[in-house]
Amino acid sequence: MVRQRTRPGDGQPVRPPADDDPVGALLVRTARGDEPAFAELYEHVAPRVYGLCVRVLRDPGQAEEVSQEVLLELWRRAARYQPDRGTGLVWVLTVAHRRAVDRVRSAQARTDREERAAATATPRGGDEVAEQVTIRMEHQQVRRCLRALTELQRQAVTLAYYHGRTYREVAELLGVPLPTIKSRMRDALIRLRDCLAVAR
Amino acid sequence: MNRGYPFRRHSADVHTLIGPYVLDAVTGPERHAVERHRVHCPSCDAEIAELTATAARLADSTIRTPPEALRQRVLAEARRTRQDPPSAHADAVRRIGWHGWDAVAAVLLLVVFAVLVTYGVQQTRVDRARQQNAVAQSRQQDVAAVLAAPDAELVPTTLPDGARGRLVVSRSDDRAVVTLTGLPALSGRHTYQLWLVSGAGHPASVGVLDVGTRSTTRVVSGIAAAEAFAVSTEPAGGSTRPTNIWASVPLTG
Ligand SMILES: [Zn+2]
Repeated sequence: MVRQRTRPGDGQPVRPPADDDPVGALLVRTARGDEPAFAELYEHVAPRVYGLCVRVLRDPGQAEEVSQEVLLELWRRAARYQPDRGTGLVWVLTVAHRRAVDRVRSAQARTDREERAAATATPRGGDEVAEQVTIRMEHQQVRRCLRALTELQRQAVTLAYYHGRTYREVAELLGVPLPTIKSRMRDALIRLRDCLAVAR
Repeated sequence: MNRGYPFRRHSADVHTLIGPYVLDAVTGPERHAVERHRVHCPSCDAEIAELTATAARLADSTIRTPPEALRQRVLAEARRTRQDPPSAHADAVRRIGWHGWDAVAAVLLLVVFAVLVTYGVQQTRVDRARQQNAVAQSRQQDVAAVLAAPDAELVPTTLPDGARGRLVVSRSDDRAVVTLTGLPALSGRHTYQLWLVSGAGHPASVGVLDVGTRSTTRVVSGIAAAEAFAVSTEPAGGSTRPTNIWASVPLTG
């Protein structure tokens, strides 16, 4: 079922993924119906997709369901990935985060009782393996850069990214006006960007 | 930042939403407002792309190995799932038209998948999954022991042909965790073999990959005396001496 496909006809030049973007390269091959490429893509991204879902959903069962949806979405919609708009991994994680957040919000609509637990919980199971710890260099960078934020910035990012809260909920949880929380989120991302760029 | 044209009335609001948008902390209508705006505002578009890449780094600290069963389900379902065409137009249509018969068809499709997965496929896999789980668990314990060693260190690993490798070495434990991904496909019945090379003796084989395997994580013993870790390409089943060294990573220092 290898079918050659054309890119979207919007006239933009299509840059092939860079050599240091194996996920992007695999997405491009997956878009052509290349099943072995998709299997390899799975090896690259599944621990990241699943780990992010576990972190946001705080429930391994639901995380597995959402991961499955996300990973199949990568198969179905690989042709939407545009290498000139960013690396493959960023695209994958954007899809995964959005799905996980959508799920946690729909679950919250039913029960909204985990609020306090949400601010502190960091699920850790016995099933972490090599990749998790062997990339602890990057992991530590992120933690160090998160620590370099102001308390309000860090809480805003944590509640939004890791717990799927809207900025309105974050403002309410932290007792801060809406315009403040919106700008703190942006400031925090800019500071993280600069910190991570230096740490690389 | 094009604060005037073409959304003079709303663009100020939209700009304040960039941070929340990047963190997926907005509602659906707000998300669409930002997406409509960025099409016309190159500077916002560039900032959003950059901050989105930054936000993705927040996932660095959440990596976790998924259950083996997930892999089997995803790959099996992909095999029977038709891919979407690459048109951006279809994306827009889908966003608006996701109701009525589309939704009914989608639900039916999901039911069919669920039935297939639950009754048709899962049964035959249970035993194999259990077996793999047991093996994976004992392997994970070994891996965790090496990584937890106080002197565990990451050895810089450069591999040819776009492959990626990570090597975490604990000399006190005399073991290392080797992770290889994206190994190039080999022609015919050939595969990769892993070696430890010491100054005096012959290279010692520390594992042979199955033919067709392109990524692996393994615990390797006998690291303390080794000066290099090497990967060779061999006929299926491996060799007693390396035939063709594909990569070599110094361990000294
Ligand atoms: Zn703008």
